[in-house]
Amino acid sequence: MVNDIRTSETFIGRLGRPTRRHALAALLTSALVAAGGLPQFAAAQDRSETLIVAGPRTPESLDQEYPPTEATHEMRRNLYERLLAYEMVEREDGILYEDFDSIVGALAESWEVSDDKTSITFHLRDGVMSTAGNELNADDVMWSFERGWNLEANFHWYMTQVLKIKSFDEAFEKVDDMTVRVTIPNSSPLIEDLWVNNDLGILDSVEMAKHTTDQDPWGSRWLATNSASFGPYAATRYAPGQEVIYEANENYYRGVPRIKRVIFREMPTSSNRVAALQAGAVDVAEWLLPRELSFLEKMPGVEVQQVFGNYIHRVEMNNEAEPFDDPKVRQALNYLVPRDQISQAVYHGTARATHSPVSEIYPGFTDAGFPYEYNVERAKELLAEAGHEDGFTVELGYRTGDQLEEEIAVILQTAFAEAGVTLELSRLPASTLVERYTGGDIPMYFFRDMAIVPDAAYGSNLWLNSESLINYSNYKNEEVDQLIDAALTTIDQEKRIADMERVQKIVVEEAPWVFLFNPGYQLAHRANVKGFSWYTPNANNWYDFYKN
Amino acid sequence: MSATMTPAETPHTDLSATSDLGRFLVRRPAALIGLTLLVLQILAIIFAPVLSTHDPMQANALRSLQPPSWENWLGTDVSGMDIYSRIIYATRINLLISVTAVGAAFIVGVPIGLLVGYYRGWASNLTMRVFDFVQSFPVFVMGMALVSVMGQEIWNVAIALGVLFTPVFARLIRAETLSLRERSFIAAAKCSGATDIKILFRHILPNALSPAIVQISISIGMAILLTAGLSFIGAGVRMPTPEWGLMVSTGSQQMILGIWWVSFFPGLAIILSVLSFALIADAARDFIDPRRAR
Repeated sequence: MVNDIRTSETFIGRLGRPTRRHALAALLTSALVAAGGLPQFAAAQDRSETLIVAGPRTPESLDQEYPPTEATHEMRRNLYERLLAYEMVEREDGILYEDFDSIVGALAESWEVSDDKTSITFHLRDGVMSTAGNELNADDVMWSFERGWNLEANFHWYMTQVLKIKSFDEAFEKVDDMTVRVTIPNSSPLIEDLWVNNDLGILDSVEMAKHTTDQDPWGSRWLATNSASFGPYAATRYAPGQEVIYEANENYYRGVPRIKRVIFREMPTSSNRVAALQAGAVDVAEWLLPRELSFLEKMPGVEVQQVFGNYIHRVEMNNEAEPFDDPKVRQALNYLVPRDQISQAVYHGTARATHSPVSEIYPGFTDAGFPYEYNVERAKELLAEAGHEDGFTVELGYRTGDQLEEEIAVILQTAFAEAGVTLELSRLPASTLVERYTGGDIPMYFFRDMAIVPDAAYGSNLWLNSESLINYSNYKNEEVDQLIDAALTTIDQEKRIADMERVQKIVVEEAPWVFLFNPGYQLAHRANVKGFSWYTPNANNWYDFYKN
Repeated sequence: MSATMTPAETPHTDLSATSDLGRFLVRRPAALIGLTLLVLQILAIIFAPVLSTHDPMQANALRSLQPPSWENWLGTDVSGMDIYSRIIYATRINLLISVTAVGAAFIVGVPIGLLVGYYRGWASNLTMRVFDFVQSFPVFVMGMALVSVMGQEIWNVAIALGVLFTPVFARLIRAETLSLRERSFIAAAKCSGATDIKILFRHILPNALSPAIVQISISIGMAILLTAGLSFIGAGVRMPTPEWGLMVSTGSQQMILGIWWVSFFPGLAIILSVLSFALIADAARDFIDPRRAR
């Protein structure tokens, strides 16, 4: 405002002798600036505390029991709060990362784990307030557990598949108003780490009670479009396909978020997100293509953050159906992937070829013995041994709008044709593709996922245990199953590591997937936006962000 | 019969000679341009393997997004495929789909139009209501729905477009038939003992066909646009089939990065192709119906 008035004075001065008309104009200008200046200043203040984010899609639901997707991971990170968290540490690149060796309390101020790792007792933090203004107590935790158990979705999966819990009543116990104990049938090395997972948020049971009915005792209908937790933000507007508005929780136990309002806008086309960021219409653009990120890196006023990440991007094959029921066919396709070409042309050198079903940054990872270098002759030999010397034709599905997958698919099509394998590319809406691969109705499809809990057995259990609900490739190896189950129930870390190295060796050899890349995780934002941090779900935590 | 016919009822014969067509084209340079563009497209279709410089479906990731050069005259796309070669081959796909769809619509729509125009009754009304139903949907939405149901194959796109265009031809022929059936020469034919089939196909059809013939060219242009549009939104042919709309779609993401050639040249091909059929349709209308010529 002050600057504007000075400009007016200068304007008069430069005109030389001020006439009456000039003076009047100056007065009017000053008055207008003064009148408009206050709201402008307020707007500027508001803008500095508002973050506008462009992403490919709004979360499909605000309920943490909804199946995990890239969009719901981020929603959970900002609306829900967990019992435990990893300590955040800043590395050389100035980015905050989780320290997997150091767990700190979140909603639980302290906790105790039995020596045999069969029980964990959470002592809740005093004075933690929900977004609705209700204070946290053990009833909130127990109600959240009970809801998750009865809905038989995410929470239930973690409890039964990872912690091997069989009975709710035997496992979950309210010790007192601020203490809850979880007891599990066997030892589990993940009994602490698991609670860091954002899928296991705690709900405000008092607020939720207002929205339950006889037909909907767990308030699922209401929670699909609303929020009631102890996290840093509350959702004040949820318009699927358009936008989500997150407002700061003024009572958040870690302090009021510096960004008071986050407006998440759905922009499905990545080039539109680039244009919006370039024009300053948004502060942050998520999930951009490597090519676009390279372009934005050279742009003044924009910064690009890149971290190693934990994604494993692959082409999954239905191991139960022909021709992929023969490991030789699966191995052959792995020999046909021109990884160098894909790395250069599609990822611009920002990705790393995946050589294991376990993320490179997790304990127990090994890429020893990964044999699949580009080798057409070896692929032809294997196909001939499998009785496919003339090749075969197979459908490869990828998501509509995922340009990265489309580019890789076209390169694979040309590469596989060298050995007579014809790929029919099917661009399918995400929901159709998911429906088809969950039903075993598509032989090959792109799949990108990560393990939130940094543990080799945890991730392997997700994708490779034949009992897992998300082992969509239907891979089955009894030894692998036994090793994973053992690693989930033993606390002998050395044995676990050895077992998981064996699992990786078997899996790489049997090649249930076409191993592709870890694409890393990248975020582009305006230069005045600070505070980027990275978490294993590759979801931004707006609480960490602020504007200069 | 000829003694009682008006000029509109008399099939034209005065401009049918080649020399007359030549004189007509000279008088109408726009028509000449349209015809030239059409000839170029036909040449591209026939001689695609000779004219192209690269395999149109051969990805070469190491030459991704190269600008126009001696090696790749119109540059390369994200997969390193040669855009010039793909445009040449795409002419085959786009025109194959469009001509097949419009041809099928013409073959099916014209007889239906004749019958529902000549015979009145519940069957005629029911047929027209079915056409109303088909045409009440936005063409693009209907096309998307049909391709989604039938699958993303070239022939399915052609069938979907054929279904969309059939009512257009049927309506045109029906309108002409409704008018012609009341004319005196039809009454004369009936009096002379001609059967319905003879009246329909010997007397009405030749006189009703002119607007449908003009519509063929208009519809092919529309079909090219629709095919390209369906592919642009991912409901047309599969990747990496060389198809103009699909090529524009894959390149559209790069425009913001200054990589213009991936979308620009296929877009130009669409414009020129549609323009050629529009100009030919305009000229055909004037050629067939000289009263409209200026």
